[in-house]
Amino acid sequence: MYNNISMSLGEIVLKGRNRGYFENKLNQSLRRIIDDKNLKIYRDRGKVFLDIDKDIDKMVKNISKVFGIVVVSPCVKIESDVDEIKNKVVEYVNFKKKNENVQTFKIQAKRADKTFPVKSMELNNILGGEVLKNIENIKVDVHNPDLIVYVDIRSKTYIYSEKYSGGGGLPVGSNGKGLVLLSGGIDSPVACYQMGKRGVKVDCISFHSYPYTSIRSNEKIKELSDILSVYTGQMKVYFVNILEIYRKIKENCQEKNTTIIARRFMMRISKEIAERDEYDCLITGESLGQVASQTIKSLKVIQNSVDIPILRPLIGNDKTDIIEIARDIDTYETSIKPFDDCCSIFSPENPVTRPTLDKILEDEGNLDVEELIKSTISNSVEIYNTK
Amino acid sequence: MAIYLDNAATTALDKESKDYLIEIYNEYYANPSALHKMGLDAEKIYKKSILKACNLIKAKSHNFIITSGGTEGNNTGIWQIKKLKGNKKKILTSKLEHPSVLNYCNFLKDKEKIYIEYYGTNDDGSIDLEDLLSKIDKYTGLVTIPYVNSEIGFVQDIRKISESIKRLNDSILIHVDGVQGFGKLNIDVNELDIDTMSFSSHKIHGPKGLGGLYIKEPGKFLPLIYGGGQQNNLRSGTEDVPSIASFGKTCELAQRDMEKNYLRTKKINKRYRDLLKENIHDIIFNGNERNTSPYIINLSIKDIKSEVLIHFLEMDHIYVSSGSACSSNYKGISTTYDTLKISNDYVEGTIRISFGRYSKEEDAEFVVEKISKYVKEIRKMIRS
Repeated sequence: MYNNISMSLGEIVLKGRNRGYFENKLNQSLRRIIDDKNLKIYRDRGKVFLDIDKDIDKMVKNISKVFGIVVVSPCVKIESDVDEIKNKVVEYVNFKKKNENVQTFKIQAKRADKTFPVKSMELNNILGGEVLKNIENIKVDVHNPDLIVYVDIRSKTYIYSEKYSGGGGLPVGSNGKGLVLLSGGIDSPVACYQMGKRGVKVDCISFHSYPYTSIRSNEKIKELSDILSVYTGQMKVYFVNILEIYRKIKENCQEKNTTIIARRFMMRISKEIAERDEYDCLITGESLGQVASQTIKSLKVIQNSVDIPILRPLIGNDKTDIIEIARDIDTYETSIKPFDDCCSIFSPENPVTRPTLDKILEDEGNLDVEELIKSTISNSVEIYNTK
Repeated sequence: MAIYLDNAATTALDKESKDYLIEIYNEYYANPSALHKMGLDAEKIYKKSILKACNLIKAKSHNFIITSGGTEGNNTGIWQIKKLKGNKKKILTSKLEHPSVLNYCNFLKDKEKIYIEYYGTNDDGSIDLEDLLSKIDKYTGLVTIPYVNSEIGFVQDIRKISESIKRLNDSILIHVDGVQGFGKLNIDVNELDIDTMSFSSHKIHGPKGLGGLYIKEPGKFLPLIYGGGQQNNLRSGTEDVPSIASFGKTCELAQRDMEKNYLRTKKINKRYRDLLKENIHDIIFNGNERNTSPYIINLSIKDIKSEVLIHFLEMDHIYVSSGSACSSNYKGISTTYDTLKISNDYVEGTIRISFGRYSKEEDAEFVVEKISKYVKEIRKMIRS
């Protein structure tokens, strides 16, 4: 019986004069999942609506992942006419009663269009009376009803009862561009999701050292980015082979510093690519104290290698919280596939956990950093575009 | 063109078998149990093909069933312990067995109250027969023996082992995993005093998802799968006539060329071994060369990680396999390597080179040259 989907916007409504810009980004996000150009997306007094008459459940499910939308509901759209509303509400309650166990109900009418001649309270009474008159075995319960029928009066009138959570946050692309350092682990996909949710248009960069790591671990990264793109929109993944850098570190630096120096290289390469391809920031899944390279001292030394903002949305999260989000966004099962840890032969047995900048810089002084970055970026980058 | 040296894992389908598969798919797709003529025609093809498989092991067709492959064959063979009466609740097995034997034994232990005991093995991969015999007691219902171990290729003397067991107690059932020997070595089930033996089609260039099980006493057989009563009620399920026909063709070819293939493979094997010995220092060949199938070379290279070597080699389209501790994260450490007592600095560098009908002696030089080059490179990165 549904012929429309309504969407309530979240923080966008607070954006004052920039609201148009945010709504425009939201439109782009919606268009991405609504391929059929014949389906009309339109605004009606602050809410967004979609005229659609088939596959509504699937569309609601897809829209529930779009950032910038807080509530999504399948609804019945009709003319804002009292008689028509009366008939449709009775029909709607009948429809719900047939499919679900509905013994009590409540009408909740709201006029966004204040020129509508009947006030909300009065309309509640009229519509409630109409239902009681026409349908048997149903009672009104204003406190704890089985069914709340929302009657939302705008240019048109929308009748609905189901409310699903949307993706929340802000529309993708409304808050700049960021490059996520995506590993195959649990954290970085969550970081990617979190920043996407705050409106950042994200792409990813992933480091490997094939043939010392497996092609399968790159396939896993592709799989993760495909899952994430459901939320973030189509993404690009830069795959960078840094074997040559590991080789040079191995030859010239102290083993215990390997991870820190390698991380500094990853940051530098990411920064170069970010500046070249116009990203505003780097994003990592680092969580304080989780591993040796994520102690506060290590983060300081790693941070020092670049002068671009590094956003770490998970820095204060516990692992269990991160896992919970990873499960919610469907990346967890893929993340725990064990390819990347295999043969982590470059990880030192006893990594330094309290590095000092002086010592690291001194050790790094044995390498031609500029040249290594340049040659890596020009020779060892491949790009994958998500589905 | 790939140099595929992972034939113990699976093989490329033989061209003749492939053509025959398609031919039968096109014309004889009817259900062989159907009463109509098309069904009868399919049944004829089916029976003819089964005979070819049976010929390869000198079995009668009523002693043979088609299965979905080696795993089902092993499961079904071991399942026979359930038909024994009284207190015959113990299976004797060894760490040299394939996971389809070991994990099925574990399942029986957990769910069917069957007791599992492991008999000893020697460092070269042979069975410690004395230990095996000493572990036989009044509870022993079934013994499993691997004919050819899939990792290192050791060929057990089945006849000697089975005779010794039966001499002690001829009511004990003996199941043999015959997968890696089938179609490659001469097998005559009549000479082996065994009860069941499993086979697989895809290890000898036949279609995948298919195998067989030899059953000495079909009248006392306990099926694992029940249904429409196909295959004399021993293994239900509509017969996959095209695949079985193709499998039959494969068996026919394997029998025709068995000796030729064996000698050719032996030569290739020797060439590889010689070149490896010559060009790479700090390597050991696992198993005992004299009693090892020529189709498998298993070696451990000091101070490398086999998985890294495999990735290096794949860049040159050379495909070998590992099974070492390095891949234990997702494959489970091979119990065979446990039993061989390979030292720590070697075990992670264990690779298996396995040959098939399409392996060529002239590839050896190129392959060993690449292995040698990459071993040096990996050692440089790994050795401190």
